Order: sequence, then C-alpha cells, then structure tokens
Amino acid sequence: MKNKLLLFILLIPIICLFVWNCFLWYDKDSGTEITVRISGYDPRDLLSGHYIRYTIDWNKTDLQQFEDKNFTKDDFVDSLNKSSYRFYVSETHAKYLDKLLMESWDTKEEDKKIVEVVYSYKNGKHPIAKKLLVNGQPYQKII
Amino acid sequence: MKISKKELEKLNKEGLITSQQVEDIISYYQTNTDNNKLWKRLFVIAGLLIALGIILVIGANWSLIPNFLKISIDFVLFLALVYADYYFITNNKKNLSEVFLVISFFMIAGTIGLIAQVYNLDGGWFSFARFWMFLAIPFVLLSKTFLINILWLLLLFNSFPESFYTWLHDIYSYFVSTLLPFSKSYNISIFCILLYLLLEFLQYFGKSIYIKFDKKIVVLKAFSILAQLTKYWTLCAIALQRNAIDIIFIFCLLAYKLYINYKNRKDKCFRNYAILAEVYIIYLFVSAYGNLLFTGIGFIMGGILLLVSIYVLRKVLSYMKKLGVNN
Repeated sequence: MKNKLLLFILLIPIICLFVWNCFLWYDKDSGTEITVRISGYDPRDLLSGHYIRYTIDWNKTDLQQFEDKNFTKDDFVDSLNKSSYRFYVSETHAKYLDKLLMESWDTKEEDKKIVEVVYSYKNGKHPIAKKLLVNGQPYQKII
Repeated sequence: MKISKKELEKLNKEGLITSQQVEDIISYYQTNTDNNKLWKRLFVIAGLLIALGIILVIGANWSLIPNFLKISIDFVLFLALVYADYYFITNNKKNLSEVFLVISFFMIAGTIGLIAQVYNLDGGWFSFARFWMFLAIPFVLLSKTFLINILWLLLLFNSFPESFYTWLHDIYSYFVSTLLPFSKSYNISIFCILLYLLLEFLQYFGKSIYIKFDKKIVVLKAFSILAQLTKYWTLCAIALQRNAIDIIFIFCLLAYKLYINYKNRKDKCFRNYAILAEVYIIYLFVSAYGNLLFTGIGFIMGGILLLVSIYVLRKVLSYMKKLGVNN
C-alpha cells in the first residue's frame, strides 16, 4: 500500500504535464487558422532553446480574415496581452532566420521576404503559433 | 558517528573497552562517514550533469524529429526516470535514488521547456518557476540532496507573482513612512531590526520542525539555512546604518550570543562571536572618523583594543576549558 502511494505521488508530475500537453494539442489542432505578418529579431536563451521574438505587423496583416471568422484583431491582442511573441526554431535554422529577419530591415520593400506566423485560434483561449512561413512556405523548406 | 566520543571515553574509563579500541572505533566511523559523504556528492554531481545535459539537448530543439515524437520520447524518458526513482527508493539504494531524484527534478523543467517549444508558449519566468516548483514537490520531499532543496526554495520565492513583491514593498513603505513615528533613517533601522527578529524566528521554526520530523524533510533545513543567510544579510544592513538604535541592538545581540554560548560551553561559537564583536567595534572606530589623522587614530585604538580583547578572550576560553568544554 505504502509503495503504491509512493508510485502514485511520483507519477503526479507526469500526469499533470501529460494532461496539459493534451489540452494544448487539442487547442492547436481544433482552432481556426489565422495568418499574421511579423517583424522581429532573434535573441537566444540557453534554457528555452532558440527562438524568434517577433512583433505582429498589423498594418500588413490581412484583417479581412478576422471579419470572416467572426472575431476582431482586438480579441486576439487582448487574449495574449503582450506586444511581442516567441516562435521556437531548431538550433540549425536559428542563424539563417536571424539573418533573414535582420536583412529585411535594409532591403527594399518589394524585395523583402514575407514572414508570417500561422496561429490556431479559439474563442476565449490563448492563440497557439503553429507555423512560421517565409514567402508563404514553411521556413524549413526555404532553408 | 553513531556513538559520541564522550560516551566512548566514558566506556573506556569504566574499563569496558581499551584506549586502542576507542581509537579504532573513532577511525572506523570517521572513514566510513567521510567515504559515504564523498560517494553521495559524486552521485549528486553525476545526476546534475546528466540533468543539465538533458535540458541542453532539449534546448537544441531537434528539427529532424516531429513534435509528436519529441514529446513522446520525453514522456517515456520521464516515466523511466520515475520508475527508477520508485525502484531505488523501495530497494533502499540511497545514492542511486538521489541521482534519479535529481535528474527527475530537472526533467520537469526540461519537459515544461519542451512543451513551451512545441506550442510556442511564452508564459514568462514567474509562471515557469511556479509550475516547476509545484510539480517538483514530490521529488523535493523525497530527496535528501541539500542543493535541490535550496534550488526548490529559490524557485518558490521566484514563483510568487510580481504583485507579491509590490505588496512587500508597500508594507515596507507603510512601515517606513507612515506607521513608525521617527525620522526615515530611524524607521528603516527599526524595520531592519524587526525583520531580523522575524528571520531569527523563522530559522528557529524551520530547524525545530526539521528535528521534530527526525531530519527526514531536508527542505525544512534548507529553509532554516536560507532564513539564516537572509538574517546575516539583514544584520549587515543594520550594521551599516550606524544609528544609535542599530549600535545598541547589535551590542545587545552580541552580548546575548556570547552569554548563551558561554552558558552552553560552546567555546568555538563563543570565540567567533567575540571576534565579531571586536571587528564591529573596530568598524565603529574607523567609520566614526572622517580624515586620515582620525582614521589613523581609530586604527591604532582598534588594534590596541583587539590585543586587549585577545588577551581577555584567551583567559575566558582557558577558564571555560577548565570547566569542561562541549563543542
């Protein structure tokens, strides 16, 4: 009995993490997809791995998609309550993406690569970033 | 050591064991305790290295493996670790169970980090620390590794929301500017003294409960030590203030500590506090004077005072030894 209790106590953290993961997985797969234009930079964090920290460029985002899907840009912003977001990328891709985003500051408007993030959005839930697109394609393909 | 030195000497005096046997028993326990400590430390270091390695591998964010597989591998590894914890605890393999508990403690952080990577979450440090702290409770309660317990306590203090620290600051401001009727400098002194007394209580509280639970819950010891360290830090703040109330408080405190250690015949602690009192007096001398001449006089007087104190201290210590010392 004591041993079973010990095993149960040890399993609690895994159960919590697993349930959390399942909820996130469900939200990611069942939400409505929204694509937003981004601009940003790439600081590195040893514990979190490599990620792009970006801001959403609302001026260049197609706002029509929000109206079609029955929610507004403000709902999206308020639910995150932040001005910059993260997208995690692999160590091997981080350098290229960093360069790409930095270069986009200096290049002419018509030559700039279009960098977008696809979000999965459900009303009342935090939007989950699903994909990073460069010129409409997943970034892994471009690299 | 399982048996005290005093008891062995008593047995020797009674003629139950010889002096040689006393020495043999002491050296046997000494060697075994030292060896056990060394092995335990090496096991914990190995566990830390493996755990940090896992976190870095997760941090690299392997692009070749799909997200689903990444998460699955992580959970399978975590399950294996938990089973290892369970197996070694139930089979009473203390060192190995410590290694796996240390790895499991960090594995929680790794798994949270991995989930954050896969779903691109950015909850910030506070929520990460809070989540890690809650999930790590089972491993911390079972682990006897002091480092993990201290780390967990630091996580606990980091997991409070930012508003908690604003609230603490508000209490401090209320004390300093509204509640206490003296000048701001005196109010800060009183606040620091009250904080010191609170920390003294918390240290005592943590230590007594740790002893009450047969020294099994190491986190209580860690809590007590953390309170002790914060207490010393507060004491430094009090010493640096140099208001009359601070000086009186420190002298009263030192006198009390000297008296208690003298009463309990703890000559090492008594000597340390006596040295601390001398250092404090010299500090007061030096800081009281501003220019080179007076600071020089302060140093000379401090030096003379130190010599006198050493003489008195040596006399007191030899007197204490005569009465019978208990370290």
